[in-house]
Amino acid sequence: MVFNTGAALLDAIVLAVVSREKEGTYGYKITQDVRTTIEVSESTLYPVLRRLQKDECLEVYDRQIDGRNRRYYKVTVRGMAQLDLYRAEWKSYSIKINELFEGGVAV
Amino acid sequence: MNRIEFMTELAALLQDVPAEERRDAMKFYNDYFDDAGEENEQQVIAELENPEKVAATIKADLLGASKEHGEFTEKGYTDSRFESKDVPVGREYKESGQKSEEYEYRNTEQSRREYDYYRHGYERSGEQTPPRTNGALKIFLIIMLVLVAIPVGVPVAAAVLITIAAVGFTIMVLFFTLVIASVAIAFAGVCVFIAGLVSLVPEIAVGLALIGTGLILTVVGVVLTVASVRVCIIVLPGICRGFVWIVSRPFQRKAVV
Repeated sequence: MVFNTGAALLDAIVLAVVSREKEGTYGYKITQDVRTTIEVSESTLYPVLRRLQKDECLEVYDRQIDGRNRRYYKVTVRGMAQLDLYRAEWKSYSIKINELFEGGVAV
Repeated sequence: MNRIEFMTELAALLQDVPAEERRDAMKFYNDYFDDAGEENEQQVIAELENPEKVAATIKADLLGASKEHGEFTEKGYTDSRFESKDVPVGREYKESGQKSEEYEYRNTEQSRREYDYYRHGYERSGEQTPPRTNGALKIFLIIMLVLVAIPVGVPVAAAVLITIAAVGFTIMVLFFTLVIASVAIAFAGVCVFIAGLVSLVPEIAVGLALIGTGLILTVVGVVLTVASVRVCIIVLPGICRGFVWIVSRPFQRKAVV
């Protein structure tokens, strides 16, 4: 991949990945899921999750798994609104780029 | 480097971020290792590169600077600040004018304990606490105890000894007094008897009465003297022995222990 993933796009991708799980999901799985789509180093995701958590786009809770507490992340209402915004922005952005690349339609 | 070393070093590197941030990050990476599984431990460490980079990424984000400095590329997150990877983060921070002492003189033992705490969680942290006493601490406490005990303990011991001695002496004196009183009664009886003899010539009745009283007093006095001397013979050695026993008790107990 030659295109960089900006911070906003990474936020959007993480929100989209987490929003797929109704009950929320956990750090390792989020990282693996994100990495199936884009290549990011493993140390990248924690600050993103932490920032989204502070912005109240994600909420965390601990769940008992195999005798230990695993931290789960869940998208908040605010997070869903933010994700919808990202989706709309991405849609218009990607359509324009697609048109430019494939259609050869004059802008 | 294994997982424990990695996490210990990360905890040490995060000593200067707020406790809440440190706890959250440690929790995340601890969960991460748990979920990756033991078989992927080395792979995860290789992916994370080193604790310095992880810590620096966390700190960069806390400063709200990641958006300006960092860039996500197909090779992952790259940041010009972390490019010189051979240079320890501590030195890099020193160059950028931040406090580096905390990194260099960090307490590794503390970090390890902190990491153990994250690793085992709340429910198991109790068992993991190592015993707090050690040899040096014990010796120190004993020295402190002796130092504190000398100014307080010596006067208290002296006071107790003096009190015991005074009580014992008083009891002895009491018995001696009984003996003396008995002797005095017998002596008074003799005196009254003599006075009776003297007054027998002018007045017979008074003389006879005095003689009788004198005889009774003398006999009572002698009987009491004998009795009190006997009591003294029995009681006084007992008191002496008791006194010696009380005084020697602490030393005996010490000898037994």
